[in-house]
Amino acid sequence: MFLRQREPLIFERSVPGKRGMDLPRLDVPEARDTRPGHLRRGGFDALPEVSEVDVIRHFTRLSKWNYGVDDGIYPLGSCTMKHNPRLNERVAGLPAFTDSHPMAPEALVQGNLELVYTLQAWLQEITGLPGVTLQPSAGAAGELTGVMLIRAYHLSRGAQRRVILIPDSGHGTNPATAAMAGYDVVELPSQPDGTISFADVTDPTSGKVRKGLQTLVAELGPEIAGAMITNPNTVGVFEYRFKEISDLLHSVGALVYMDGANMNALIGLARPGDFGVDVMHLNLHKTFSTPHGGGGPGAGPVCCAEKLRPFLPVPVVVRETEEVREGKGTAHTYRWDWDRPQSIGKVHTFFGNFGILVRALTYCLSHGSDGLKAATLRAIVNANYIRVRLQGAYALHIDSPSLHEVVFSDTLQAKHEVHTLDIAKRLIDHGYHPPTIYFPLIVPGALMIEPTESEGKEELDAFCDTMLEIAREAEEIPAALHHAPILAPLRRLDETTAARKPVLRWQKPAVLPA
Amino acid sequence: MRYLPSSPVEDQALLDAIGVPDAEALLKGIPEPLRLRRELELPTQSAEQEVAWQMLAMANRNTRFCAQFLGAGAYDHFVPSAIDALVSRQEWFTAYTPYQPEISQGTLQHLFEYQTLICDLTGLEVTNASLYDGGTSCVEAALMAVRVAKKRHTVLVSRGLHPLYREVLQTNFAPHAELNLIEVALKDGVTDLADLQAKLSGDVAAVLVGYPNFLGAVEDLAALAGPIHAAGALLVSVTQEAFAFGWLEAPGRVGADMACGEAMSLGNKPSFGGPFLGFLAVRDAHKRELPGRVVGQAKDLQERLGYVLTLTAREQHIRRDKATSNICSNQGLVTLRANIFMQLAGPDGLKGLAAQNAAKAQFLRQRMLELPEMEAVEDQPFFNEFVLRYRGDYSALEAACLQESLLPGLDLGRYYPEYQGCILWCATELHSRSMIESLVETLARVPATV
Amino acid sequence: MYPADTKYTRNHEFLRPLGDGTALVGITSYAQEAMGDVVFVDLPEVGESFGAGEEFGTVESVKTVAEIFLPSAGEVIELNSELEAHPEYINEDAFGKGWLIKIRLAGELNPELLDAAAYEQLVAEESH
Repeated sequence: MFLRQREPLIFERSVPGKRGMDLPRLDVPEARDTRPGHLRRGGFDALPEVSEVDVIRHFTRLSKWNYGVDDGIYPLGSCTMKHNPRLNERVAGLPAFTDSHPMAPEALVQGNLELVYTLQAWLQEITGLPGVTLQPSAGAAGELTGVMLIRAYHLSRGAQRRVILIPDSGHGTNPATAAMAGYDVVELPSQPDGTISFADVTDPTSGKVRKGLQTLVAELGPEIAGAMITNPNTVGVFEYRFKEISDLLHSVGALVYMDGANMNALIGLARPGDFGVDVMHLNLHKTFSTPHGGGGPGAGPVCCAEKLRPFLPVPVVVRETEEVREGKGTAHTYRWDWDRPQSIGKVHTFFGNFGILVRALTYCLSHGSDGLKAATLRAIVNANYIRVRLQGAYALHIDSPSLHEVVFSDTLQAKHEVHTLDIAKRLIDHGYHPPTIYFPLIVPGALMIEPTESEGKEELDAFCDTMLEIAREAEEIPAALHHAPILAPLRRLDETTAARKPVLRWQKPAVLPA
Repeated sequence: MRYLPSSPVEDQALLDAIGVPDAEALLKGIPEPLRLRRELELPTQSAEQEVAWQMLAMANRNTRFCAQFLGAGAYDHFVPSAIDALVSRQEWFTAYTPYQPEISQGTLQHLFEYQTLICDLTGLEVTNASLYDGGTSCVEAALMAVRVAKKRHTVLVSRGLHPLYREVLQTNFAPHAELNLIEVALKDGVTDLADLQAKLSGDVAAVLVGYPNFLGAVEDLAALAGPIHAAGALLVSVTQEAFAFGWLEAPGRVGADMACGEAMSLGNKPSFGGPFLGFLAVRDAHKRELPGRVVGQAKDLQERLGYVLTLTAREQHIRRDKATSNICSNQGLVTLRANIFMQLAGPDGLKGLAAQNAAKAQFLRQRMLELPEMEAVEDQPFFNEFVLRYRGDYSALEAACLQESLLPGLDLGRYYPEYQGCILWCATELHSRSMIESLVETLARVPATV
Repeated sequence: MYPADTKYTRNHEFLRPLGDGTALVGITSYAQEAMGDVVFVDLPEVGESFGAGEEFGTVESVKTVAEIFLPSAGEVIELNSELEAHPEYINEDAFGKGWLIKIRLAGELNPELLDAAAYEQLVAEESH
């Protein structure tokens, strides 16, 4: 997988006069220069002069320093790194989709509107929530949209609520989102099993008391706009008192937001709309197999209850059904409805990451209702298989049943001065991408593993065998782990100096080295 | 199901190892009353062939065109073949975020190069690994300017900024009761200097100006920078057509303190508006307030050069409610497309393509003005988009164009009432002379209004 | 173990009165160890005033950012200018060359401050 030689920066390959692109012949007169002098483009300091061969070699070699989902298991908890079907890429690349213009009149992009409508219908049925927007570009964007819906709802009722409750196990985007939406964050403590605590929790060392859900709702009542809850939670456990939590919040007029990052454990088994969720987001780049692309693009659709529908972003797709035509089935036309006076506005310039929506719908059509449910069940079986194979060698911080992911702690290895970071880096030496580490914060030295449904038993066994091998290494040769990775193209990097003296771009050397 | 590794033999082996009779036994954590006890009311699974056919039929319900003369934030450019070929490598498109640097040097080095080139195009010193799109980049820029300014709460936005960017700004500013967004008027198709000066105050943190603006006009940033800086505010240039950086001077060199906008033109098709590529470049002094992921150089234990995500303390996974933004991802693969494009083009390619765009647009405008129904509006320098008044009926024009498989420019009155009856046209290097002539001939044949 | 001439807060800041109505303020050696390598410090401007317990800046390490709160009310009269180039001074010598700001004390010293012995006990409890 890894290439031996280091591929330099492309700037170091630049040779004056080389070109990677030929321009077509200009078949119209040259442009008259109407630019004011000072606004004329001067030069460029970094754009390289290289040939197409240079560029192809450069990015081919660089790619060999990456690890992809096709290389093997990507056991990242909460990331759902499942297989990216190639059919999805083929469909997303159809010119009829890629050439379509977002500002074209809607009569001319009926296929796209139909796609939006159809994907929304799938997500409605999957979540049990009738309102949908596909505009948010990522999970975090979806969270912000969802919280803004909550805000708009309360404002429409003349209420100025200032607090959002968030469990301490929540993903960092949750409090960041609440703050961006103008709310104060109040933290909900977790119980030892990782779920939200209704009762107050006393810290055994400091004696400090952290107020539980019951107390906070009693004290803050009408100041609470809502709560943001991940379910299953970030340790892979279902919030079994979810309906009670939802009822309690609803009783003071607060709304329930569900972070849908872990939907891979629920599709076909339970629907958030049925257990008290008012609004939620989904991550298409997790549950719905759209590719991670080295960090994006994602998509974070938001689904909501009827009472939040008026506030959804504009425009909203509407289907007009025409007469059933003899032998040709029902004809539909679609249009955008921009006349939504209570809408929060727009959260994306156009309609969202459309190319990602195409992939997600293709995924849905391939799996179907039965395939989606089978995938959920297999994801849960796979995670439990890993749990059973590793639980002797690694400490299970929380004993509750795991759904689609399992969280271990480094307590057993800490005895040999080996920590989660070392285990993660050693996995790289064995040819694997590490699992999620140090998240959630409520588990010390968390090692969160989510295999997804894509992994066959052979792959799971190979991974588990490696993890057991590393546990043995931790006991017998801890030094190997402290220095890991040893076999990767680079050893551990000095992130401290990178942050103290940031170098964030290449610059032409001012003086040639002697 | 072809994507699931299930078989009766394997399924049983897993269940036996776990010690349960069936998968249902693993679901005890979900309370029974909350379980869905019916199948999802959706079609059942389909073979690849069936899905491919269904999606192709759906795609074919879009109208196809020989030429699209519509810009307005999504530009039709030629995409070099090397881009699709490289980006389809699984190591690029299936890879995760580069949190584990030792196993992600490909992505990290690419992003470092990308950041370098965005700084080069904008003439500024620091940029991130991208934001979602042009509209949301304006939001991040405006909020960042407010953080940098510390005690100022107003952001001025030129009316020449893309109308949908302005809507996204409104939506995202609404929850911040203490912040104000105020529009600056246009005069002769560019930001009205007098109105700007009237609205500049000690409470203004930043002014956002299109460069070029939505009407296609080249705004003189240097002229605007003077009064803006005198008032202690930051000038933010917003570029929705990245090819303009091959034609116009880098914003950072003509007075902009921050540059944001849309870079989809670098290696992407219009794609119905997404996924696109937002960018935000700033001065070094402000780098700790920059939202989004940032890649930096680092040395490993053997002093070898590598790349890491850095300045992460600003981001949501550490800072939580005090983060610079809640942004957790970047546009990943779209930055790769842009990086490859910029490297293939090089300085001559970017300048050459820009010159061609300008030439095509000027030619289109000149030929259109030969039609009696078309009238010049303002006389501002433009890049590849311009506005003309059409004395005829837009729907008749549109129908005539569709008949010839041509997508006309934007009916501007919908977004700018003061430009009722005007059309925003765009021409790029993709539009051959014969396509342009074909468009003009088509317009010439549109029946005159009664 | 901890300097006797210094006062401490429960949030791991220290304050050392200099005898002339001014005091040095910083974070303790225990705090820097918990944070890891310090990469950046965000300090207020000279002339700003804060009350006891009010946030006056942040200390950023690779893995976290910590708000720092003023142990006792005062006005900022000097900043440790070395920290911009050398944030590592906080790790190397938190009580000495890693000092953050110097203040002119306003009014009485905050009575809730801990002395060295009480702080040592707090650290012992937290280290469990």
